[in-house]
Amino acid sequence: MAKYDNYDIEDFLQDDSFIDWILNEKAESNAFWTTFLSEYPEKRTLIEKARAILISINVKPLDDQLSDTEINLRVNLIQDQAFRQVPMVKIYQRQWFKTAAIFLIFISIGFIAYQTLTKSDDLITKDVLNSLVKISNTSKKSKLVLMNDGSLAVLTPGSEIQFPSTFKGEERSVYLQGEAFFEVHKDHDHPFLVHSQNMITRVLGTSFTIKAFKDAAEFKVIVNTGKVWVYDQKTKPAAEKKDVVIALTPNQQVTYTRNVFQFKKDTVTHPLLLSKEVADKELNFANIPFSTVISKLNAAYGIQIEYNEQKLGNLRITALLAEHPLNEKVELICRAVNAKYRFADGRIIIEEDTQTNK
Amino acid sequence: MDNEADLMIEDSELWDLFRTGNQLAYTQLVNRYYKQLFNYGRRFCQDREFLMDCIQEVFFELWKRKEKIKSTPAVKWYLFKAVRLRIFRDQSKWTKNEELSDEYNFLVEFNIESKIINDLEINDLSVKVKNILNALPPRQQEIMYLRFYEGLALNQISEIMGISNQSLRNLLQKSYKNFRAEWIPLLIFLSCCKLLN
Repeated sequence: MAKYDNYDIEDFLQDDSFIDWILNEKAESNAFWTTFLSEYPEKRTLIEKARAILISINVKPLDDQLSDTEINLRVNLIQDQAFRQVPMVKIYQRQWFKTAAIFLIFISIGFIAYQTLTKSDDLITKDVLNSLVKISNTSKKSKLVLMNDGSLAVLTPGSEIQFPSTFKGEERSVYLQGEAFFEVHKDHDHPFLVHSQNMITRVLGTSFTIKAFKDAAEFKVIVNTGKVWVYDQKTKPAAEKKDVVIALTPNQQVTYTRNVFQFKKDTVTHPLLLSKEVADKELNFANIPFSTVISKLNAAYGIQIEYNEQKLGNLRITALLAEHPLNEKVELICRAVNAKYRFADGRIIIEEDTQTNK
Repeated sequence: MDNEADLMIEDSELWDLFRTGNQLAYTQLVNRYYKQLFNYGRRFCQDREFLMDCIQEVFFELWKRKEKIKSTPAVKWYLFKAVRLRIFRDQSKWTKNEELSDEYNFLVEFNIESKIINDLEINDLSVKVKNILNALPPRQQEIMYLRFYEGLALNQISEIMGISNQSLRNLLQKSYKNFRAEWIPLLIFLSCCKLLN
């Protein structure tokens, strides 16, 4: 310590141990300098001055600083590249990726007199139906359904869905009565078809929602981003035939009135919660309480995630969830609070991870 | 950045989580360091887009090699080093035919946050320090930037800049000589003022 006897301000400013102490607050240098100060109280003023100078040193901001939007964009690109092996940056690849975002489709189907007709309309044969898994939601809450290709559906009360336990063949067909939100695992070689009454909705693999009640007079199909094709099963078109296939692009909806066999296309007034533009705002979280994140997810998907609000509710997390499917969203937020989740009986349950607590 | 205090997870802990494949930890690391790395790289790399690609490459490489990467208490140092290396390596690829000189620019303007200082004497000293720092040649400025602004340790700085500890110390001595030369007259001046008061 003797060498510090003759130290003046500028000597302190050049002293490594001193700089580390002030700038990095390391425990070991802390101990040294505390002792030093108690032994050389007369140096305190000098040290305080040196400290003031040291911490006042700053750097003028760049002329072309990064905006938060730019950073977010770049962080997203890095995520894309790392997690989904999307090749580096190229713009067109990025667009392609976005196109595969979210489809939201509502289908409502006619009431009353058509019930009997409906049955004869159905081109689903008994054989097909027999090999299908059938899940009905008789409860009052939405029910989560997982399919073996990684796709997922949120089935609303009073709805029913049927799908093969394993998807085989060129197409992935599921049969829906009522309403459901789908997040379809992307697979360009195997189009995903939702048969709802006599209407078929076709996507290549994305996330989207379907509503298809047997007892409604109309279907509605609303698309947020990406592209969806809708057609009447009766016409049995090749999906490419333009006149009978309705292609929907972001924020468009089609209304199909059954008794006149007619599609009407228009634009939705409010972008839906899971559309790209809304999700980017609503489902990317920076330092937000866990409870808020959960309620936003619940609202977006119309589900009720179960968790211990007392223990987890106030933990703050940061997570960019907008572009992830629901199961990944849940997984990401669970990791942030060191919890586990499971799908059980159509519900999502988040529990504390008792095993990995070190 | 405001987001930095999130989660209150230490760098090293985040790093270890990321090494196990935790996507959120990885994203958090990217968020935590993107701006700092950009602000650093921008000082010797004129092309914004190129720089951002370099940073992206560094992070992508990290993710690809996460199983092989070791635990480290010095995450910041690791990233700064990786980004600087990447920039200079890729830059030399593009400028093969042009003259590749050892010279480079380090664009920085040191500043003094006068809000912190209310003592007039210290303020004068600070301004002096600032002027000295701003008059240094680029390489020494980079050292000062990493030392005073980013708070990195000397051995870390020498590794980031790819120079030996000895050359770093030599450069530091040069910088400090400037300090001394400018300093002594100033101190005399200040003590005179005091006497007069």
